[in-house]
Amino acid sequence: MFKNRQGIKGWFYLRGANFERYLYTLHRITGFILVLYITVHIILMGSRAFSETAWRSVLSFIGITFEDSIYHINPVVHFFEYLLVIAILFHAFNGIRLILTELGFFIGRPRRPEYPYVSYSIARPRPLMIFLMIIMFFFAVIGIYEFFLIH
Amino acid sequence: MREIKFKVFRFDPQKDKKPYFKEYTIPVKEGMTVLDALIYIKENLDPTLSMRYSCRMGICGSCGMIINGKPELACHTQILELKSETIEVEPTQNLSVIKDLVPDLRPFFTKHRNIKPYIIRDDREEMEKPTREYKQTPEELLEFLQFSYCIKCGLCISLCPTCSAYDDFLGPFVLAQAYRYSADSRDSGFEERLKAIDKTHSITNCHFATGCSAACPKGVDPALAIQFLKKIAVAKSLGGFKKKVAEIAPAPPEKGPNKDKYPPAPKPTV
Amino acid sequence: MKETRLWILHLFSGFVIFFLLLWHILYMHYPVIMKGFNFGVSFPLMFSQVTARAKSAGFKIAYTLFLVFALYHGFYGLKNLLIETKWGRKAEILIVVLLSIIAIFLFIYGVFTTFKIGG
Repeated sequence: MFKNRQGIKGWFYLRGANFERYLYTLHRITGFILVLYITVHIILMGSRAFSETAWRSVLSFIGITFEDSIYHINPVVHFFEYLLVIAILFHAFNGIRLILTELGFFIGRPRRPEYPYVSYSIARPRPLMIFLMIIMFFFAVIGIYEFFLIH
Repeated sequence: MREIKFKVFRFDPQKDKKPYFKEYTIPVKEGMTVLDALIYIKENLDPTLSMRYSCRMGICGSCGMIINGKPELACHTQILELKSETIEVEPTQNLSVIKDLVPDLRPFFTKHRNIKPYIIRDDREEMEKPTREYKQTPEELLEFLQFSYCIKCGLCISLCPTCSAYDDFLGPFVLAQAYRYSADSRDSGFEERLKAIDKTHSITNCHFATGCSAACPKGVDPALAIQFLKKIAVAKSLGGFKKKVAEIAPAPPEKGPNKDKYPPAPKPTV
Repeated sequence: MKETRLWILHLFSGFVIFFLLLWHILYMHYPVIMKGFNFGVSFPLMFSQVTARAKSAGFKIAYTLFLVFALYHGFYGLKNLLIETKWGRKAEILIVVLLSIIAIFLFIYGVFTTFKIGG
């Protein structure tokens, strides 16, 4: 028998997919990145427990250099910091949608299927999703102001 | 009459090492479905083509296929409605292929059996030799009616990302059926079903990607059922799950003006 | 009810870190705008700022909670992601053990950092 199986590619198989499928894939990718990030983050930020020099050398290693009472961030690092904030915001707001829908809120009730069939588990949480995405974009847009326009 | 090119997935385990696509050109007239075209190929062009079909009217769930990249029932898909000069036909994804367009659904039928897809009650004797029917209101019926339309065609599996990489995941239609029977007001077997559900590769590995609901050709909406199944499983593990199991309908009155109008209990069907 | 309970904790921790993370992001990554609302400081990464805020009890409690829930949420999610791959049931136990060890190590290290600097 031939195994007609997509494998891990199936997580990213988006041919003709509905919008929630894209969100699923993005949620996976951002979640994976954030777990890797938090591991590195905890280890690097732990340097504060040892001494001020250790803290400063770790920060200059990741591109933050100190002057008397201010510090400068390498623009490339700053850009990636912004991408990280976007990833966190997406994962957080999409996660709230998932918590609510997976516990049975905002997805309506079962009904008699009548042709043409509409999938209510897709259609019903859409307003919630749009609402959360708008808040996410609000934070992302003020992030552009914070990260790139004032400095 | 129009000529339309069909690219059909071919794989014979006795001859081929790898699947390939074979092209056929078919005269198509209005009203012809993809299944009709496949039968035309088998009768006139290539008798070695294998596919599975039975009712030709979207009831049996045998002819689920990927048609132009979308999971559809072949008997339900009009060729001219696809508005495409070439039509690509593949077997359902994420399942093994027995031959050509025939996927192997047996693993999922085994999983389906494991979640006990039937009414479980404490009063077995009454169930096997019923004296009266069980009470059920139309509202209680509506709780699970939608999910009971599932024809087990396996199309939901082809768009489920969790099914794509791992074999043991229970799969959309199996979990939907677990909810269909657990939500039935006559059933009290949710605890028994939990033994199969409350494990890894079950409800906790459904991430609500809604591929199954987008694929379903019968409007069953498996994703909805699985979210409700999660809800009652959460309620159960937090101790907040209560269910009133339906009782037997009361016996007809022995006296009074309406006593002859009550129908007798239905004959046992098994 | 084992797996479902773990999963409920995953959802609950996600809900808790939603708020903690929002606070953390606003404090650490949006300092200029937040200064306008009189919240936080302009340069949160200065060592003097780091030590100053680490001394307050609220920060210690919040950071410890944040560590517990974020690590649980992250590593349970990673476990769910990894067991959905082709590696199979045998690899599952190895994955769970390895991820638990990493998560517990990170938790101890994080708590050590929080309480060492806060005195």
